Amino acid sequence: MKLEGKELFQSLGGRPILKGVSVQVQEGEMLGLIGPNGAGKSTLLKLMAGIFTGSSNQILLDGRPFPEYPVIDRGRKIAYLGQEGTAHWPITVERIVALGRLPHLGTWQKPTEEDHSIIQRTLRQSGLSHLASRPYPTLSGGEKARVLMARALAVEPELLLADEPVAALDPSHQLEMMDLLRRHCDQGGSVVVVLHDLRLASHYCEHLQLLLDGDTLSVGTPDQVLTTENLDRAYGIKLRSDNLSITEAFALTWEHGSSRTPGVDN
Amino acid sequence: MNTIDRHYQLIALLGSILAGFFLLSLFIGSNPIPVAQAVLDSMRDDPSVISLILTQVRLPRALIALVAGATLGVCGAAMQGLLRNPLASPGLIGSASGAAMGAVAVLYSGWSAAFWLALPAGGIAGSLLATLFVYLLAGRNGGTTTLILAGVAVNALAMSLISLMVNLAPSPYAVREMVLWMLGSIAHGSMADFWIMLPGTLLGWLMLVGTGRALDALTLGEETAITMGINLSRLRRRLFVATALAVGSAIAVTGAIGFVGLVVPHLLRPLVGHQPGKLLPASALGGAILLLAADIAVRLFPAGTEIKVGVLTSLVGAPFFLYLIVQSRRW
Repeated sequence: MKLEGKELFQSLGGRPILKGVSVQVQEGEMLGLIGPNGAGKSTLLKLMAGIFTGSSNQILLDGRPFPEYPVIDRGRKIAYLGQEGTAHWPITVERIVALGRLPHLGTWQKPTEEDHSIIQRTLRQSGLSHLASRPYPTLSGGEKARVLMARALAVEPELLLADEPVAALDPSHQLEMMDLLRRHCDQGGSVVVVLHDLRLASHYCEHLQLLLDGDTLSVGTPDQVLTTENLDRAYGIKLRSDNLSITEAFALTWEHGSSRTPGVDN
Repeated sequence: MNTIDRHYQLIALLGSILAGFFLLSLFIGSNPIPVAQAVLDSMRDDPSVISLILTQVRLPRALIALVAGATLGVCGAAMQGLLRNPLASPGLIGSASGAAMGAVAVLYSGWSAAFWLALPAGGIAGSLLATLFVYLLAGRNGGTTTLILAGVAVNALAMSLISLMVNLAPSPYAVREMVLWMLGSIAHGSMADFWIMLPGTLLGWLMLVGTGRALDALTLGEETAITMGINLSRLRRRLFVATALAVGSAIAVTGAIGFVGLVVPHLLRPLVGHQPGKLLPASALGGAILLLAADIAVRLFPAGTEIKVGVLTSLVGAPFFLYLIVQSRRW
């Protein structure tokens, strides 16, 4: 699926947040949204998810504007994982992941065999099989984040929008999570992910879009976006050492070790 | 699947308990009557006294308890699902206190004596009015907290208006009428009362059918639910109208009956795996069971001490609810 938004505007509480940002996601692509706090990353993601209604923004899905799709169709094509995602009842991990199939089922439709196998496969791939019958509130913060990601993956969406999905995770699970997103793209899906870890961003994303103050400061490959000048303008940071190149500085210098995290079985 | 079978088992179990209590409520009263004989008598042209007791006193009483209890149960479950708050009650959005205000206003004005439909009509109108007020204040796009606060404010306003009317009541007799009505009772309900409450409650129930899916999605929060294809403002409108109609119609006939809508969903939630959608039918059955049981219980007190069923549900419900809260603090 291809998503295209031109000159997007959005105000929240009377304050302009997005001031004419354009965004493009190609099929099979992972796009990383980066930028300082308050730059408008989450708002842009929500706009793409269709959470804000009634704005005059034009977002095209495969060339057709958003409103032409019935909401339920959008629910099947696009999955959204919010920054403050949570489950409000102490329901089990398996049932939360099963909610991902909800957009595919009619009001009285029971989950099919295929739905069940997707749920089980997603649990397995997310390393959550051993937690399947645990109530959500008994999980750790990182486990919760992975469960909510598994719910989004179980939608089997064409486009997955994830807002800081690795914020609560340890280094190993950060890699697991990014690998899951990567696999989603390798299978033909697209991902837009908000990240604060620039090394993960430059390692996993084909393209980065650097937002600053509701506008795009730079968009392109990680090398094109993560320049000394952009880093200073957007974040007000610079490299400590002149001997280190930007590419070296943002290289992901670790990977999975020989003792994998318990519970992960892929 | 196993879990689906378990759900049907639960529904079947609750259904049979409900049927049992319904029959029991036909058998129990201040005077023992041979029910089988009464049923046979009621089919004859000249019904006997015992058949009149059955068809004109006990049957409407059981039917009203069933419908009102089911309404409070299912609307409580729907409200808790919508607000994702186990402390929400069907009255939260103003329906119950609005109905009470409408009914008390009718009693105050004296219209209730003028024509018998005035009291329930006033109750339903009050419920719709109060709910509309809450909806306009916070229902369309406001957050959950705004909605709860608006509900609290409108409930307080309705209660203060009720106090004002009791305060200014034209006669001690009117005061007694109002206070007794607010205690909540179905002891003197007639078939006419039942037919009055039925259309509104049925319509409300029908509107709730099929909302379970959206309530399930809401488990993940409002924003995520929207991205799952749920039209949130339409869902809210639907639940508001359904609750106002159903609870308003029920309360208008029974008077204030507390805690059924709060306790029943709370109690049944673990049995349906905490899934808001599956909680709806279970809570309807559970509410009906609880109110029938409470109405049977008040008949067991010695004759002469007429305990109102609304008093009993609150008396038992409040401490029980406290117990549930203490229990659930494990989560």
